[in-house]
Amino acid sequence: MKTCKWIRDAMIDRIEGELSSTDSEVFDIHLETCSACQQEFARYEKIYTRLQADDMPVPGASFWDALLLRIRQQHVPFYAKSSWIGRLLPVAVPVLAVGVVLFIFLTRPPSTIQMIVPVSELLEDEDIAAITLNAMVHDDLVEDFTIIEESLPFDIDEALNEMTSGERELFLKLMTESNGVGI
Amino acid sequence: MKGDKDEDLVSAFKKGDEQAFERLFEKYRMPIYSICYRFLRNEADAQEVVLDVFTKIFHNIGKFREKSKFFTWAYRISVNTCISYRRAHKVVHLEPDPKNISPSMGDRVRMKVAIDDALASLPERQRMCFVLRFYQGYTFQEIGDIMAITSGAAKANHHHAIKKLRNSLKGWL
Repeated sequence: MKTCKWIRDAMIDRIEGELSSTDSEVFDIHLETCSACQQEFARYEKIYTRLQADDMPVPGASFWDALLLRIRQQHVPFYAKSSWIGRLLPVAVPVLAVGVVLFIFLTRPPSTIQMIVPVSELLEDEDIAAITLNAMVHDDLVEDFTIIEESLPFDIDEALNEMTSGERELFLKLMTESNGVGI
Repeated sequence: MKGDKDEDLVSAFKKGDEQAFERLFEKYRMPIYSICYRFLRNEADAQEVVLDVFTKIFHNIGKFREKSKFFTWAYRISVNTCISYRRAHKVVHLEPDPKNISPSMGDRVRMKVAIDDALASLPERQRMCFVLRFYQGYTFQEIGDIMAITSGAAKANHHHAIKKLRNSLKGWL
């Protein structure tokens, strides 16, 4: 046998159909025999009726059209819709640009001078030889050739002029090897 | 756009299809307006909040991760916007001029004012649970999801609201 307190606590569930069929049966049996609970239940039912009768003003089509227009007028570009992209973009662009420049600068191969003029011809003019050899990595090359020249019993320029190109190359090769010059 | 399913419309709108937003707008404008009006009890306030809610939906759809249903997310925005609005604005209910009320109309208007006052006296959470349950017909589980509370808490809040309304409106019973 359920008490009046249990019945009163169950009144809202009974109206809203939340009671199990067993509990609903017990509830209804109690109500038939208890006038106080009957009256209280009638009050709750009336409250529901009153509140359900409470109408709501419904906006017209013009309101909805104007509303949609106002929302569209506040249109923002897509990247701004996504918060993290929108926040990241102003920082990311300059950082990316600096990164690209640094990458290119740090990863490019070291610049070198490719010598296509035979050394034997450069040696005909000391100034050209000095300038060209200085531009190469081996700064001490000029000094090495000067030492070679001084150690020979003849004028190297004259001797080279009398040689064929093959002889000149062979001569220079032998001279550099024998004197330890690191070309 | 594959169809009228919320997930399809949301997906299409995220890709930039504004017609998909229009479909969502048409589908949810009345339920959202209803929540706002029932909670705020004022037509002009409700209209202002509805604009705010749809603007938030429009601009923040990218943040919606689709872990919940779209309507849960949209109604949560509605609930939070209503509560914020009510806190920021002191909602004034104007008493109707008795001279302009006919005898037959009088009871209806007075009843409406009594309901306004009774609802205004409820704490925010009870009031919103009551609105979502009583006028929108959501289950306690759905209300819990919308309000980020348990279904038990949603039910308890709704029951407290009904009991308080029963006491506040006893003169009308």
